Amino acid sequence: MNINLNIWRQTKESTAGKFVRYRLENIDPNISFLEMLDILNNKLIKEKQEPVVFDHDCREGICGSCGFMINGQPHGPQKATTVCQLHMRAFQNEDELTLEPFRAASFPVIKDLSVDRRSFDRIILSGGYVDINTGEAPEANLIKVPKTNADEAFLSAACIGCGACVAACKNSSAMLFTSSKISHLSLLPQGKKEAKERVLKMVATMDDEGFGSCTNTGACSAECPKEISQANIVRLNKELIKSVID
Amino acid sequence: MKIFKALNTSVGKKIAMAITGLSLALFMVFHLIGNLNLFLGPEAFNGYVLKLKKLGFLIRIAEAGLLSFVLIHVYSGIVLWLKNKRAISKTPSYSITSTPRASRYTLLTGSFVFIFLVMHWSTFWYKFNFSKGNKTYYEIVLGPEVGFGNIYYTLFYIIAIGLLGYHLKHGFDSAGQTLAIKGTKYEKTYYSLAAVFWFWIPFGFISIPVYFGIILRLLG
Amino acid sequence: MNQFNQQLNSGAPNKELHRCWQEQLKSYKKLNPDQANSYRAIVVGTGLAGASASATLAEMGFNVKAFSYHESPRRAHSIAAQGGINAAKNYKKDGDSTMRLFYDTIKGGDFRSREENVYRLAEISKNIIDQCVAQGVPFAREYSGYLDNRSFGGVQVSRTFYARGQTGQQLLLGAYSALSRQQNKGKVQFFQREDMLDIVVDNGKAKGIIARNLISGKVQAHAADVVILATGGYSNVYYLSTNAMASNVTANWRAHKNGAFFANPSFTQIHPTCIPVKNNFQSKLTLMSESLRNHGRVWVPKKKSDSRHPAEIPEEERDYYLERIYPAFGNLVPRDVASRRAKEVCDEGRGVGKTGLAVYLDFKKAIEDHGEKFIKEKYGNLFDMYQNITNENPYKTPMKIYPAVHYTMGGLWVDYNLMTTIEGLFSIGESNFSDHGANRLGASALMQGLADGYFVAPHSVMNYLASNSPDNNEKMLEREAFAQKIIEVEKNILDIMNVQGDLTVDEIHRELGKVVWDNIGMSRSEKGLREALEIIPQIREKFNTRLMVPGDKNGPNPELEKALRLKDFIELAELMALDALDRKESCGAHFREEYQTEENEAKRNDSEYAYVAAWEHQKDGRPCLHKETLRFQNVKLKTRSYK
Repeated sequence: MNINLNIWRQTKESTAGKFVRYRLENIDPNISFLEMLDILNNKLIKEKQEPVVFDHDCREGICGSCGFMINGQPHGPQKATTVCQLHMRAFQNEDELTLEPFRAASFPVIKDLSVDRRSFDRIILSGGYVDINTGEAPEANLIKVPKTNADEAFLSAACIGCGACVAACKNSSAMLFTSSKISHLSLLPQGKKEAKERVLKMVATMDDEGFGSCTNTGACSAECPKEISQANIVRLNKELIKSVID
Repeated sequence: MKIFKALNTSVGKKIAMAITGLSLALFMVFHLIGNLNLFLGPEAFNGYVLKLKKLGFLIRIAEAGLLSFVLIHVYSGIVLWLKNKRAISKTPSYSITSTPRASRYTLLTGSFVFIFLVMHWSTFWYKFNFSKGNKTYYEIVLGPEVGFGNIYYTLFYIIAIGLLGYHLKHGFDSAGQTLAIKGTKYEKTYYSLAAVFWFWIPFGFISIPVYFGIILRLLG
Repeated sequence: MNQFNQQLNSGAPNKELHRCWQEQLKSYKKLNPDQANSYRAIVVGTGLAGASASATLAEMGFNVKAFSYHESPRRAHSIAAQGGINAAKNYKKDGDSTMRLFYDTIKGGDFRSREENVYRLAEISKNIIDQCVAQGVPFAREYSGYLDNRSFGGVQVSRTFYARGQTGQQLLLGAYSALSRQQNKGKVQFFQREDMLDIVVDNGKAKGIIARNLISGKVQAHAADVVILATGGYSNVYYLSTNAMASNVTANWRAHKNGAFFANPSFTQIHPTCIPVKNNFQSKLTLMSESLRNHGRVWVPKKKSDSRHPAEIPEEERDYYLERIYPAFGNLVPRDVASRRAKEVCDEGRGVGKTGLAVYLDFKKAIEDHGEKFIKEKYGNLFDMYQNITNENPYKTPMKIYPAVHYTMGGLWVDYNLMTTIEGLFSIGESNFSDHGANRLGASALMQGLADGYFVAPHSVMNYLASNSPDNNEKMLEREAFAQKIIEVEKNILDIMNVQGDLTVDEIHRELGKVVWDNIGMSRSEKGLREALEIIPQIREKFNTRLMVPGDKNGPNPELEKALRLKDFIELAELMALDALDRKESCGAHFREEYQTEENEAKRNDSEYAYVAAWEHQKDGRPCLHKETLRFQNVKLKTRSYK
């Protein structure tokens, strides 16, 4: 199959970027999207041009490194799939694809399709953990957790921190990301102790990092490669209300 | 204080917006019940307004409360809107995805509703309270000056209420999530009520100008 | 120094096995948090081992500088581990014990690991689970609310703790949260997107590293009182592996070139259940959890080059070769055995798929016996993943699988304290060689990473620091050793940038990978290894004269990053071949064709090869072999049998 690509090229954060058009012919529909970009890059290097920079690492959809917009959708058109798990058979011959980085003021562009997502780490830093030192832990089975809670907590903790939720949001809000961590910890007895402070600190950090506010539209969950649900945002809100009430 | 810390966050402001928004929506129910007296004729309507007036300063307190709710709602909305403006990338994205429409235009519909409110106060509310002259309340409402006797005013009123409904559609949806009603056993009740609020209540309001301002006029 | 003469000593206390670690802990010197505050530690790599070590050292009061080439610790490849983590908790009351986990691990490693280390690992396994649960890791639970266990990878007890198929992710996020907590307290400074390119040894002690910032391209020195490498494995020497794209050997290789011995480099694990290679553009391989073998049956057609659709091949023309050869263990034989048998049937020409390099993993019987719903519940996400990648429905047609490189047991040689042969340089997790011998059992990589990071290295590092007074870190940077290293690293970068030839990094890497896979892969022969030793220098020559790295070194340049890594992989490949050549026996993942039993099983040679091969880098390029003889006082050396 043949593919026409409009790829956002930008040398560094401070310079202006632009779309550049590339064409690839005879692409095997069974290769992955990133392998298609590898082929493009190999071609560019041979032509003594600079290859397209994009973040990627595990290529198994779990490390959260990869992610950019394909035709306006984070990680492309396939539901619940990171771009590294997307295959070319998801597209048609002669498709026009526009590739651009995740756009948000809190995700400055590093180069081309690669963005800086350290703001996510700083949100976690402000309280996304249980206060316990190594070696202080009690015997594991002394803490009983109802299976339903454990399962729900797992679903929240499955977030890979890729940033698709921010890119999908019209306000560039990081609520889904932040709430998934708050949910994970608030669903477990281990996380109860610091629950009140955690939610206030993490939400305040999220605001300070310059993310927008949540308008509860659900676009984030719709685009999330791990299908992190809106229930997490509900739980964050509940935790915040609880932190004030009692 | 924790509450100020909480209100200072974006989520806190959303909660403030949800509470004020829902309260104002609740007020609309009482407002509508009053308005529907119009269908019962001048005596019923005028009598109803007089009854309210007898409450005196209680009404003033209620009005001040409502006004402060409107201001909190508007203030939080604007602060968040500005925050969101700063949060999005300066480079516009190639296309926008699965965001529902109602949520994308809340500020726009909200602003229109606010303009309407200001007009509403400067006309009906002002006249009712300070420059009634020798007209009855019933006559003011249906009269040609600022009432449904005026086709432009009538149309403006219908559009404004329509947009208010649209505003409430997303508002209720969002508030359900902000106030953590979603996912609880009250969710179903809440969302059936939401439909009453964003559809049937505005429908009730609109029925008045449609009947008095358009249908009666067409019938001559 | 004469070749082959130095006997390495692990330094493990000469005590009864179960007292070793406790005694060692007791003997360690301690520092209180105030004293610890005047020391600095550098930790390179923030995966499971690195993040947990950084956090724990910081809790003890040390000032930690943690380095990663990723943007965040959460991106480390530990995150991709699927199956689970072993611990001898004996919650299922099925007779599990520390001793049993120890024995399984030693036996799984085909008796090429150090008893004391393995026992310590088994002992600590229990603490790991406690720690992780307290951190909020959402392990799978039973309806009772207690932790659930499953049986995994060739053992007969249920001791594997898991979080769906994402155990590695959940454990890494746990370690990342502990690290974040210390970062927030100011005890850990995290250096993101900094690629370690060399190590600084001053007066015989590790004192710092040289790192290149992957965004600005700036090369800088960082000094500390101790350096801990947690830089993972080197499976990417094969080009195609289940490792992440950036996983590399550079940190370990640089340590090696500065004096750290490299142990058992040829012990590389081939995982039997991966999705087969489809085409030349393939960039990486995807593992399917080996838990699939609990219900899937492995088979190939009895006839050679049988191109019929699997559904058209009748039962009697199928060869369920694992069940046939190993009636007791069947499809659940250890990884190395399953992998080698798959290669064997494919070499016979009975492989399936377009390339003939695949075998079937069939769930038909399991679906008939237990129903599709049962299979879906157990393996749903794996089946979806398979279907997404291959575009085939495994509920209807059997999966096609083939072995792929997955883990490297070899790594830097470390003593019982996890210190390398360079004083003050520690190596933890997959980057050291210590616990898995010649073959790693399933669900024990996560266990080792966390044991080293949370419970072993912090104590032994403290012991080391307590006998060394803190150095003035700022002044250290002015020393000759640092300046010299920066010049070397910058020259190396410049040399690579200046070639401007006609081959891309990937093209050369792919070529290297093929040689290593064909000759130092699932089965090795003297002929093949000698061939590899001839070809690899040619590839190095190509790298030196025909490489093309575009762009600027002062800015983000992924091609340059890859080139720097490839250069070290090429050198490592040679050492792997030498090591495999030296070991004239078959053990675990190391299968020498010349040394097999009549039934084609690995033939160990315990009298001559019960040692760890630790290679020392020599200036003349001819590595020198040192041996650590393995003493087995608590287990009887047996031939592994899974029949």
